Amino acid sequence: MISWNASGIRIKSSGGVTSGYQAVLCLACDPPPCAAACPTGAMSPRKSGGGVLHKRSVCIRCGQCAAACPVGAIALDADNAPYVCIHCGRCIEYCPHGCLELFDVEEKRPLCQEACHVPKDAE
Amino acid sequence: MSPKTPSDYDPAAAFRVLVVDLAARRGDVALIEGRDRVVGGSGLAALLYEKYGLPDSPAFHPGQPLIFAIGPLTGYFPLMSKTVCGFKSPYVENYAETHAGGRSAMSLRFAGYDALVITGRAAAPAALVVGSRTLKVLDVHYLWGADVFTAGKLLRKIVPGNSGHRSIFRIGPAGENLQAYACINVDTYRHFGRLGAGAVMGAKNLKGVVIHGDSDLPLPENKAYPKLFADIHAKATATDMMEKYHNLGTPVNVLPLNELKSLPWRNLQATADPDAAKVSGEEFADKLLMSNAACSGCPVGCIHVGMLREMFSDKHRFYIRQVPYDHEPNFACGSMLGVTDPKDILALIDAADRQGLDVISAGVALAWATEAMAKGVVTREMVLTDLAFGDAEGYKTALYHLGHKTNDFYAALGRGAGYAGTQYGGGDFACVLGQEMAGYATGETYFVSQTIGFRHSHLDTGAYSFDQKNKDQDIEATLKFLLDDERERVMLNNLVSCLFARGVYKPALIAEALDCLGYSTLAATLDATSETVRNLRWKLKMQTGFDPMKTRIPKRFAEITTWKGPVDAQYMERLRIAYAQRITELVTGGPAATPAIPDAAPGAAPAAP
Repeated sequence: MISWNASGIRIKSSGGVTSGYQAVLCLACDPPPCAAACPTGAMSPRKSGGGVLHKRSVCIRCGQCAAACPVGAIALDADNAPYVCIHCGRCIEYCPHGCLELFDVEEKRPLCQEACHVPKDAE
Repeated sequence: MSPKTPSDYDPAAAFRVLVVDLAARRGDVALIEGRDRVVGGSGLAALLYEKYGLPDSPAFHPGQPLIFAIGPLTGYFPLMSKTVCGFKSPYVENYAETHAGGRSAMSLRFAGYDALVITGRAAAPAALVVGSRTLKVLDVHYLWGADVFTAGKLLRKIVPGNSGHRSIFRIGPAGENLQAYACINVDTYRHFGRLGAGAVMGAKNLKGVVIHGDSDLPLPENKAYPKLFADIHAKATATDMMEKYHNLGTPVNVLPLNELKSLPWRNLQATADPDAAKVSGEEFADKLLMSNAACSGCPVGCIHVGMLREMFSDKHRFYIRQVPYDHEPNFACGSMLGVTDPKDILALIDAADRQGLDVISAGVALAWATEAMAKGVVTREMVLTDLAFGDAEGYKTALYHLGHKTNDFYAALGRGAGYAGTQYGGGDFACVLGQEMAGYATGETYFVSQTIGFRHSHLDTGAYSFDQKNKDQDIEATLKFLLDDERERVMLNNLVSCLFARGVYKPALIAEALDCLGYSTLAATLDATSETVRNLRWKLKMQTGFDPMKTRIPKRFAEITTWKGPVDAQYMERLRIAYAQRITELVTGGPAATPAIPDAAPGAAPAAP
């Protein structure tokens, strides 16, 4: 399946192309409301932290996970199958502007990916 | 009649107030009497603090209320566009107010409430969503740590609907970290800026508040209302307000202030500099202004948004930010820090906004830190970067640390330059008048007014303007001006009008407006209610520990020269004591004890607690 939606990360214009773009992706809630909403256990918190795992084999495609996500980060394809970021970090090397980064949950950084622009010498 | 719907209660008889307990995740719609006594806005906030406040407990006590109140004319007449936030300030530990516009006032009106009171502490980071038929406390733990703009962007997504007809308040890292001058950002371009309301939100684990203005209210059914609306609108747009506030906006003051030796430069080491031409309102408008915006209900549009174009890689890749500017942030991030490139000033305003810091206090505190560093009072190991007047990069880094309370130094500086001065030395050159000074080094009257004034703000009285016109040292005439002007402003604060409209909303017009909305008693008692509310506010401020007699003015303010000549320290001290006595008498009803007129310069008086 390939489409703009069948993806763990979706880039959308925000207020039209003149205003810029926004990356819509999983913020790794802890606990994740999508997992709580899933009636079959298909969506479950990753034991190591950092988001959720989705088991397609037990998913009944009810779409409740997508409805439960507060930031709309779970996309449903034409067959109602959910797509969610698995925090693998593969997208990072494809971003030409360094807008994306991956870090360990132990770092206790804000879960919000677009958080503070940290000056280099402040880190 | 049920008090549960916005349109079927008599607003002339009672206030309709939503009282939310974050810990219980529930709220109560209360009908509270007192309209004829306190009007609304500032008076209503004070009334609600009397009812729900804990005057003897610290500002961060979970039970302290955070109050947002509007007035009887909000939503019905132009420029009734502000909301009063009443709270116990963590900066001064007294009852305090901070005001903001944006869509806050209209959203509260059309949510059907005269006020929103937030008490308790949420178990986890939360967002409160309020509307005419909505009350939700959402878990938003994943927003904790997010900067103000990211938080806004995600809150718009998390709480959809009513775009343009809702107001979104949020805090940044500074509020989460309980920095004493953290602000509440309102609808991106406006702020409940001063005295630390953002830290009170942080103490409540409250990252954001969304207010949906989604109900329909009855339209006044009389012929007078549409006619009066048209008259007021015509007056507001025909006066020089449009020219003054819409065209160049408040930065138009920069050149005249500099000319009058009244513009604070480099931590108030000077009051004029030839570089003023580089940071004038004209320069900002010519080079950076990209759009004007207005608060809901305002036809003037004083909000100036500048375009900040910054290269983020050496391959000529740019991002563009839209940064609101005004005289106060421009002064705090500009002349006070010796920064004279308007682009750098916008970048610093943006950095302070991102952290959710009060930009005035943050800039003035960093000005103190710069001088303190130069004098060896604080070290680079503490400051973690190099601070030098004119160098914007160091200030950007420091603003990050201020927001994140990175170490003990930034924890101290986050309590104010005055507090940092008590910890490290250098209090004499902390430009603090109750809180960090606003952008007017106009002389003795202004310094005394901000030091003692109820909000420690340039908006308490028009003292900065008085200084620019009066050279005489006439204490009685000055006191009369300060007290009369304060009372007139309280009248507007009760409504809650934008103070830029004070030339339009004269008492007779206010009475007419109140009358045609059915508030005939209020229309007939404007002077009396203004006096009542002024005294009630002072009573609460003193009940929570403020003693005007114990205020002090740091030595730096006596070391400068304005158009009037060198500041007269003796006169300033006499004026401070005389004003403090009058304010004390407002509450006690009797004369305050008269201390001996000091023969020492300001700064010699004992520090306020």
